[in-house]
Amino acid sequence: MPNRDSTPSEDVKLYGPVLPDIADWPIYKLSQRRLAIIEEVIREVMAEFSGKSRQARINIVADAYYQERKRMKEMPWKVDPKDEKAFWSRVRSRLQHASGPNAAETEIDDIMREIITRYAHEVAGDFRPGTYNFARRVLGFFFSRIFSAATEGWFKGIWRAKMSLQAKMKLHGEVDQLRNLFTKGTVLLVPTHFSNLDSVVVGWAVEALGLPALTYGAGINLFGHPVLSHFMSRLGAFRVDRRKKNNIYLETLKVYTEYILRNNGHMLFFPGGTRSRGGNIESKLKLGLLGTAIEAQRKLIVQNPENPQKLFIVPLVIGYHTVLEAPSLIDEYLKLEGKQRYVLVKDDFRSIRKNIKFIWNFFKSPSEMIFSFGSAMDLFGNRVDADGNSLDKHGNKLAMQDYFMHSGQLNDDPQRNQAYTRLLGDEILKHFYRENVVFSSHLVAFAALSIYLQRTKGDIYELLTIVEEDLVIEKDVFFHTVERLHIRLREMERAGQLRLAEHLQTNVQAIVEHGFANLGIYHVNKPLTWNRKGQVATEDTRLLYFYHNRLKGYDLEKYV
Amino acid sequence: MTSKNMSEGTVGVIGAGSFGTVIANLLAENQQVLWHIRRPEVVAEIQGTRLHKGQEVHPNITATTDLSELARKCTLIFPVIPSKSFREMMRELGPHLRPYHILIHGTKGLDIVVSDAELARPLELKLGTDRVKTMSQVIKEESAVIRVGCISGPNLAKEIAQKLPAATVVASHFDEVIEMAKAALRSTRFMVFENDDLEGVEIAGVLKNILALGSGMVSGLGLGENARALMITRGWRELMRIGEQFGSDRNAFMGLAGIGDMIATCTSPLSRNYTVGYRLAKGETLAEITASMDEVAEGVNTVRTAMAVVRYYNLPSPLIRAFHAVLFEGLEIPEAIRKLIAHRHGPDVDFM
Repeated sequence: MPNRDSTPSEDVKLYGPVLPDIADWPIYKLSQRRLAIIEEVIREVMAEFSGKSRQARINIVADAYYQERKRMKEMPWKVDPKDEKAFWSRVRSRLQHASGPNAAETEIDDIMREIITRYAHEVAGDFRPGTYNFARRVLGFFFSRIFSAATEGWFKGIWRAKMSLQAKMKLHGEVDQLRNLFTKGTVLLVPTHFSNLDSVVVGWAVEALGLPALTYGAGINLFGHPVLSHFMSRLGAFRVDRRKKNNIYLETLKVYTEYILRNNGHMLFFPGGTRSRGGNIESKLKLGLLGTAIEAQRKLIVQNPENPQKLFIVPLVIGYHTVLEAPSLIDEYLKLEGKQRYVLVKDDFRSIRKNIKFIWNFFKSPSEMIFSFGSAMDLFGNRVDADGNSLDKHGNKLAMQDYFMHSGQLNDDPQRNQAYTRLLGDEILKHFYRENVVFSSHLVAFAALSIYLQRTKGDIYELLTIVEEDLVIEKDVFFHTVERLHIRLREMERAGQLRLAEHLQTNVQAIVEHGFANLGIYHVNKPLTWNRKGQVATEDTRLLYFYHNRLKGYDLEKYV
Repeated sequence: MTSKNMSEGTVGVIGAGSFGTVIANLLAENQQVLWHIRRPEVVAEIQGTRLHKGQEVHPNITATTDLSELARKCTLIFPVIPSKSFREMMRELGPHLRPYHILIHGTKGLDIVVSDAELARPLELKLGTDRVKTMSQVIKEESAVIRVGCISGPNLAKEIAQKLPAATVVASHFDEVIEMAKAALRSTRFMVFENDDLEGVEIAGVLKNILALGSGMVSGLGLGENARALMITRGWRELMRIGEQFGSDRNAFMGLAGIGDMIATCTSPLSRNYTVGYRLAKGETLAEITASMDEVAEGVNTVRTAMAVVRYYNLPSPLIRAFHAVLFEGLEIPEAIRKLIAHRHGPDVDFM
């Protein structure tokens, strides 16, 4: 154990904890009531289906059975419990009886309840402070040691880990407000998603900000790994199985997450669903959980119309110079978008060693990572003040119940919720674009690829057929383009349309140097280099395209 | 009339133009209406004569000059004012509005924010769609109201005032907004259709004014019905392409608020935009025409805005370019026609 002076957590801790005692954390309180919550979820899901006719309920169970059988056959995973075949064949025989003429009215309900119970136990997360503290120490140790070692040499660094991580991992945004909101309501943190590292680094950022741990939905496949599973299931993650699409499962998952959100369970949710394949900021979001949040808010209002518990949305844009998985992501993207026009397939090689090497390289380089927290908003896109009050454009306080009124009455209108959900999705996207921090590497990649694209009239697939040696740009042309883009970016920054990293507040020469030094540093093939003639060249057009895409959606093309 | 009992279901109307008057009268058939009119003398005149714009004013209508009163007493409000003053009105009304308010506008126009520098060189103005706002977007920007909608369609005010049969489209992303509008406007001679593509319906309703202007020109020049059909069909394609830039799907263009409205305005000498085109063709200048009309012809502004969008996205749009040249760049109409005919022409239908 390291001595007290160099306790790793002190190296990463930038802020004191919002709630010093873990016993006060909502995630801990919820885990204490885990079984009671599961019972409540089962009751609520049963109630959801109770309005339907007996035949409809029979059909729902039959459909679940059918889909589950298909899943077990076509997509078996190591993580699947051993007894599930037996469970579902029991469902089948009981279903046959329950749908027969002599069956009691309640038989189908009994089967349904059993299925829901099974799902609810599977989904529900847990939280153990011991495991959390352990993970926190390990992560803190890992980050700070590797950082010092990488920058100062292994032996010197490992015992002199006082260098600040703040220099590497920067936190932008209204941090004090964010911390405050954790005591005023329930926070739903919604980050962009570019890399598998996102969840790890967000975990670090949450810890560094002194925030209580967040719960999050983790793919059930991650629970297949014994060590990972041990940690995940004790760190507040709940399980999401994307293979299961039957109504009973989806309803159970929805009711569970809604319950957590209604009961102050701060949550982390990647609204993009999966990592951005193209390297661009999300342009479309998965709305499911956002809809659940809106319904949770409505129910909280019904419980207490005058002073309801509130939900807050905090967008987070994570900025990288390099995305480890960029090569495989962009391949998937090109295949998906280009269909028959893209046939190149490269193997994706992933290993723990590779991940560690990546992190090592990240810390070794002058590279940085930025967490750009957007200002918090309510579910309708209104900004909120320090006390969590929603304010309109004129500074008037808004009552949440007003959003659910119809002719002077609170009412339940699922279509309205859907429309609100779509608007919330749009609002989050707008924030992503506004809070996005542009790096030198994004700028040089955008400039170079846009110039290349002019040769093929904007056709990326045609561009990919040109061998890399033939793709060069004269230095002057390149610098002028970067300069024009830089001027435009600064205009946009002043207009609040995006943010620029500190290292972009300088001259074009320095920006280009910085960009070349940082762009895709990890990759074997450099997205951008200088060739012997002093021209801009690339070793991998696909990767260049990936990093160029980060600035898509800003209408910058006409400044190239 | 001011002493009339305002019940829970009082509906608000903003704007005393001819269409605003029609809407207020239609609504008054089903409920109490509080009508906001900016000028006190007009309010006084209405209270005295019960006549406005040549239309009788329904007994269920009470007029006021106080926007905050409207916000206090009505949850459902229909703003029907020219697009030029829409944002200004919303800035005044906005602070009084709450998320429970529902606004359904009847304004076919667009709002653009242009800097002085850009204004100084109007012929170079370029506008991306993020700078061109529909009225529902203006409502959302200037207030806490989210539940918005619009009414649009072939709604020539004079005909509705004469109680001729007609129909309108209510568009909103919210079913409840559509239902409320239908209930408030229900009538034996006025049908209400539904559409959930709010922005598409708004854009289609605005852009079609360009063709109404063109149709007026065709009549004024006596070019004949072949030319009118040609202008409308090819023009419609250009408008749809602009609509696409706004992300609207084509369905809105195909419905009552698109083709329906276009047919009415392009064939009727009753429409203001048609009149402007007609008089232009007869040799009057734009300034003269504008000075002599008491209500704005939105089509003139629409040509300017559409042209800025065409420039921004570099769309071919030969007709819009020609209209713009005639209206604002002093091009003679015969020369514009000669250029149009010389333009390289491609496939007939390339959008289905």
